[in-house]
Amino acid sequence: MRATPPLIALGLLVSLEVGLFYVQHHDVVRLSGGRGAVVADEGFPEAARSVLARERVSRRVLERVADVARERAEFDLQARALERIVEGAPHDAESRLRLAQALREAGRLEEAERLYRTELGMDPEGGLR
Amino acid sequence: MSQQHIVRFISKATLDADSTLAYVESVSRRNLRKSAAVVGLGVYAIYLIYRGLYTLNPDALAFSLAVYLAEIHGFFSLAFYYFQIWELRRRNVPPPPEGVSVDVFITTCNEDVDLLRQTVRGAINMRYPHRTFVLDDGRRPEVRALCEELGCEYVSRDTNEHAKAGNWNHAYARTSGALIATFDADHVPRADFLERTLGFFADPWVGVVQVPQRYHNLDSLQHRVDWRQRRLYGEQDVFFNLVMPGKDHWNASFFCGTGAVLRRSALAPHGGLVTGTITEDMHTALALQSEGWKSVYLNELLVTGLAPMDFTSYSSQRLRWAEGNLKIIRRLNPLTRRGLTFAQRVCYFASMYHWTIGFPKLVFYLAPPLILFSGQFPIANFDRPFVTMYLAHLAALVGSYKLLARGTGRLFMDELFNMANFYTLLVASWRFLAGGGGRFVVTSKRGGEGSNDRAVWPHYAMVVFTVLAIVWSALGLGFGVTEDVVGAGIAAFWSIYNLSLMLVVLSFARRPSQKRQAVRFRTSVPVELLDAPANGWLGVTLDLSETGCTLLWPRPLLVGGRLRLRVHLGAHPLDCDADIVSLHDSVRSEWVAYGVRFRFSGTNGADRLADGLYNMAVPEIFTRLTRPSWSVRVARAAISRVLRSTTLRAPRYEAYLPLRLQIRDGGEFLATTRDLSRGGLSLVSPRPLATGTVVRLILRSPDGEWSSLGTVMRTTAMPGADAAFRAWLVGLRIDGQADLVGLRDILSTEALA
Repeated sequence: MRATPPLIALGLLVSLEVGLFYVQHHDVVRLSGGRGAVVADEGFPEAARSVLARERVSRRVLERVADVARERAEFDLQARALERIVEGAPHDAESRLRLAQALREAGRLEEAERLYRTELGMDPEGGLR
Repeated sequence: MSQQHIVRFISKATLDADSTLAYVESVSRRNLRKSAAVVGLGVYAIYLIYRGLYTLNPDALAFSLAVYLAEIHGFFSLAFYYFQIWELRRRNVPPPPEGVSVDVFITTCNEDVDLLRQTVRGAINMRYPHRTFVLDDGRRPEVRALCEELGCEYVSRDTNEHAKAGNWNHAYARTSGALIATFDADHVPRADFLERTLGFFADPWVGVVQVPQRYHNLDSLQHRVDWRQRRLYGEQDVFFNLVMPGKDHWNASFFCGTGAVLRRSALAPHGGLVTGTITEDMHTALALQSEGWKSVYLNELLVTGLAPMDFTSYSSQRLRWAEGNLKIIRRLNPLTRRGLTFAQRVCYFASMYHWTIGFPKLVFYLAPPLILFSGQFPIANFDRPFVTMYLAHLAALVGSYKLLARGTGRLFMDELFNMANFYTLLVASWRFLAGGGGRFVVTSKRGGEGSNDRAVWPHYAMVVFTVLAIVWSALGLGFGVTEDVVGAGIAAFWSIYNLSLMLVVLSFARRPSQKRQAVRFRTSVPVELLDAPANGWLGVTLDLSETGCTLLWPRPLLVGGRLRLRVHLGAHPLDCDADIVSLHDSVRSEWVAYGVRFRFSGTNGADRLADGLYNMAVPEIFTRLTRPSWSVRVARAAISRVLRSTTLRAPRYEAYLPLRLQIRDGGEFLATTRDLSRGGLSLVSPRPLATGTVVRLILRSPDGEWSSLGTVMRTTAMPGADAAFRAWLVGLRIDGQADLVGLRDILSTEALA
């Protein structure tokens, strides 16, 4: 029983830390719910923009933003998320094509065309010819 | 040249102490270890160069540099250590000179009189003619009365100026012995202490002879004992078994404050011990060596004391040592002090440098949680070349360390005590840098101070910080804030390793405070009950102290009852009344362990018991826990396996059984077995038995009486200085078809563990 008070104190500190984590990363936490809930979340655009403004965020979260934004037809957000993905993996052809598609759907046709042309010029091994 | 130097120069030299030095190992082994040291340091140096050139992280430069500097500190630490243990030496003991006047100083301030009593008695009982002085800074009437009772001289003073050194110097000025042996209040010397140490002073240049500090309270904070494996870990073993014999090679072993003999004339220019720091011992040794005096280290068990029992006492002792040793640099810098050899400079500086590990340890303990919190790594390019380089350096480090430790060091335990000490050493380093002064605090040896949260709050803080970092990192990975699973995994692994060490340290610190008044010695000696109905039955002690024992007895005894016991400790059994105060668990069938408190009338019985404990039990315990080196064990196991396969030697089982031995001339005495095999046994006997002697062995237990004839195959004297408490290890062959192995269940090592 002697160990109980320190453990309670540690538990309280961990709880506080979880709270602090939520305050600092509430945007990421908000995007981590069930897909349907996130799609229906009215605060999604705000959370997505906040996430995209971060210097560091995982690809998993960016993928979630891109997928949900596409489903909500928010193509500009989708394109920005895919741009971050492509920045992190410049040789990922599939992401580049998805980005081109998103740009087209967002009405950024010139950028989409440029990207399509670049993609068509890439060799199957992934490097530029 | 000073007058004192002239006197020393013209005195007749009968011995060169250097001629008493002998190598511990063969040339090939020494060369192997030196090669390992060079390779270990070489690989470490290459690793550091690589780290500096390619892996410093510009994105987290301060963090990266802190970790890098901590690694550089570790390199110098290792280099100093390897330099000190480059060659290990032992000493051949010259005979003591005749007619030298010797004073024995026992310094005390506030220690228990009971504890002091055995030290004073041990000092008085040393065989070489001497005068014993108790230097009491507590000015206590009961200590004066103790001195009058025991027949030694009491010295006290009006002030406590300069603490222990001042106390010592006060007596130094009032005495005249050419040599002065000095002991702390808890350090009980053996009867042959002076005989073993004085011979070195035949060399007129020898200023100090130091013996190792061993501790008989093996349940102290700084010991770990595995009785089953016969392994004893003492935190100071590396220092006294490796570093000091290594320093002795360089004529740089130093005075450690107790268990030493000093030459009065060497101290004369200083008026005794050098004052001005709180570690007068090393300070004095450094001063003497810079004046040309030699030091001798004799690695023999000649005195044992008490190690701190609780974390608070332990930490305050380490803080004093660290602070005092670091402060010496300001007073007497070994790097610049005239008169020292290069090796002496390195050895003394290394001893001071050792206490600065607080800062690097803090960096190593904080780095993993910081990585987990921030996602920043102190190492850039965590790639295959780095991992290869890191693993190579780690392998070279561990391999060379183990090889040079010669079976003494245990990396995990050393790391554990580094963890325990890191904050204390940090405080000491900080005070040294800030120029603050420490004060001499007498270390409590009885325990009872318990846990002081001030001593352990840094460890609590580290635990909390590390746990929070792991949780933070897990949340970040879980929600996708970060995605560096490998980096976080490495940092988490490192954090959990440190966390486990911290929790062990906290378990040290939080362990219940010592309730016993006396140290329990794990020794098994036969016990008889002198009451008539008990005739013929024998018991055995599981442990023995100055105030009682745990008695294993084959018959039911009434708890709360009083008995008359005969304890067979040495050649002269000790009779006393005893109370059965508690009932422990049954060990096997009717054999039950009881807590027994002795009731001595007067002090004679208690004193005789203490003599037996310090002169017989202590050497035997340390002999039992002296495990041969790995190579010797492997060789012995291989030989034993071959012999077993040829039925020349049966397996042995450690067991402690009380036996009655009858010899042909009608004599009878009691002994305790140490091991049993199918065809024989070994026992500790209070009498030497000649090879070929036939004895009848009788063991009476609730399962019946077992009796057999045995023939003595060998007899080896066990270490011990007092003739009344000599003991012999006797190996016997059992004549007949008796199978003793079944008896081992009565009291085997498993029962004792």
